[in-house]
Amino acid sequence: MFANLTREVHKLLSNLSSIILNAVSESTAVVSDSAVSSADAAGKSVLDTMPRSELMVVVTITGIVVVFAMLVLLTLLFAFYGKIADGISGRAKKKSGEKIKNAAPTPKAAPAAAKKTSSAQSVKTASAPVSDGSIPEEIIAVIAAAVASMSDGTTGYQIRSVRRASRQGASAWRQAALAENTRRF
Amino acid sequence: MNIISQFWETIKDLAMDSGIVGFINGEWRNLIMVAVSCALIYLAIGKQFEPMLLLPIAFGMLLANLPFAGLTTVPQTELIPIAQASAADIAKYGTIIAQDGLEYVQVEHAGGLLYYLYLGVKLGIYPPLIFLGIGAMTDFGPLLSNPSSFLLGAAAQLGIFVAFILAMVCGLDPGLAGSIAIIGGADGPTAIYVTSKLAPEYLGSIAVAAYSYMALIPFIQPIFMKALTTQKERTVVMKPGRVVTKMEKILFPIIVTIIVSLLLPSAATLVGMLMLGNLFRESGVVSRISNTAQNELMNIITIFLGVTVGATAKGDVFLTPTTLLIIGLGLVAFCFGTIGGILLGKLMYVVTKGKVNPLIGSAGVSAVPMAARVSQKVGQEYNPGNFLLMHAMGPNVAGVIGSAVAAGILISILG
Repeated sequence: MFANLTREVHKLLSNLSSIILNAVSESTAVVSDSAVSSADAAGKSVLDTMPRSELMVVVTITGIVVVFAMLVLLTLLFAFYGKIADGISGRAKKKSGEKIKNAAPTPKAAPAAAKKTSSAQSVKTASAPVSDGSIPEEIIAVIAAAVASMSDGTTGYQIRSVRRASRQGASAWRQAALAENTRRF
Repeated sequence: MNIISQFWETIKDLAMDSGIVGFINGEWRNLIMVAVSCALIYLAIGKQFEPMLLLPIAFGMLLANLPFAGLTTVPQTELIPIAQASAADIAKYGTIIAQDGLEYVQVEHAGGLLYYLYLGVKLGIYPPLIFLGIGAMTDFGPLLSNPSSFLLGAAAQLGIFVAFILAMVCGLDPGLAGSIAIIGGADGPTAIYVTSKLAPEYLGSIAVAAYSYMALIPFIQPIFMKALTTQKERTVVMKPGRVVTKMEKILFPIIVTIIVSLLLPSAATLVGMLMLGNLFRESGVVSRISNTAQNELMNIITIFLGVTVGATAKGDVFLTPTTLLIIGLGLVAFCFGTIGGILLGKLMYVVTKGKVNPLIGSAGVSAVPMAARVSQKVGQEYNPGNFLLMHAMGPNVAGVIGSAVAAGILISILG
């Protein structure tokens, strides 16, 4: 989703770049002028001579452009930084032996599992996951499909074992919420 | 007999010094302001309209409008010719100045309590410190997990510039127009900071308008949110954003401070303090300081800021047609801020092919967390399982940065 958005934003920006450059150069002229003239005793000489209608338009355009430009810059910067951070943390993650409590497959996972059989094959399932006989094979298959859908193509997760969660009485949703909220970030 | 007549004289003197005489002697506007302040106190306590700020503001207004009470008196230096000064005065004040051949006793009259506390507003100290507390209370995680929220925060500042144009068209002074415009940022400390620099005499009116509209957000915003979105758009369920690491949350305030302060130095004070507070919180190593910033510091500064800002609302400034204009244009600023955010939200809905719910756009006005809660509530009305709150927090906190940037621009051009 986000790749599309950045492409759209980039297109928008390249179209607006000439307008932005003009407005920014105009605003930096105004800003530097006002910075200079506010330092001298005579006060805002540049702004005093500017007619009200001009001032109105200059402030509005400068304001909108600079606010957007600044926040677009921050958007792109943090989107980029997010991608780097994801890359670093993805490679460091290892999912061996984790009790997969919160891989509760959504109803979509079942039809998605059928579509994702090709991607499931890319996951290294060289050895069948260890499990006790009490869990039906279909459940293990669905869990495997859900885990496969979590991988983003390059980093595959390998299921080592599937064990039934110990506390039988508590609702699985509740435990999932607990795990989610107490997870280190 | 002598004692009785002296006693009577003393009582008469006290009566003439009383504030009631002040009302009668032509300060009738102050009487109206006392009534207004009582009404605001009722709104704050009875109707719970942002009581943390409205209550001190209302009471400050009350204190400032009681005649002769002198809480807001400016300190003065009086020169009394030495011939007229009594021996007691000379002994008390001591300083003798020679001017044009005559000798004077320099008598210092101290200012009122609220005058000295007000210096924190006048010198631009309190609002940045409030931002410090706000930064310590804010979690920028939802914004980082979905950086496109920055754009929604920018779009919601549209109200600022619409109001600016209208205020200029109405013939107001550019400084006042800028101060009215910043009400559209829905950010109390920012509005006070800008007004204290651009139009300090109107600080009381603008603060009252800004905080009243912030309290009315749950009533004003849903109208536009429902009018501008289709049923299909409103029911969009957004996927959870990606997980944000601790390192990202620590680097965020540092990076934002550097970039924004380099590109727009006039915004550095507000943004810098906001980010400092956030860094205190996210670093995890200064929990004592973070706690103080969020709690004690915020409370202390809120008390001082509220009371002194309210005290600027004197009758002769507040009860003028300009105040009505401020209130009207402030409402316009607010409405257009909401509209701007929702419109960009709709655009993002189209661009992402239905992944973004436009209702979170209205949360781009920087009234944290009220506006996000409103998005959540309206979203839930149309789709009961929809949990928009965390998604709306992203634009909400981005709006704080956006309005600080807009404030920097207004100050740098108009100041």
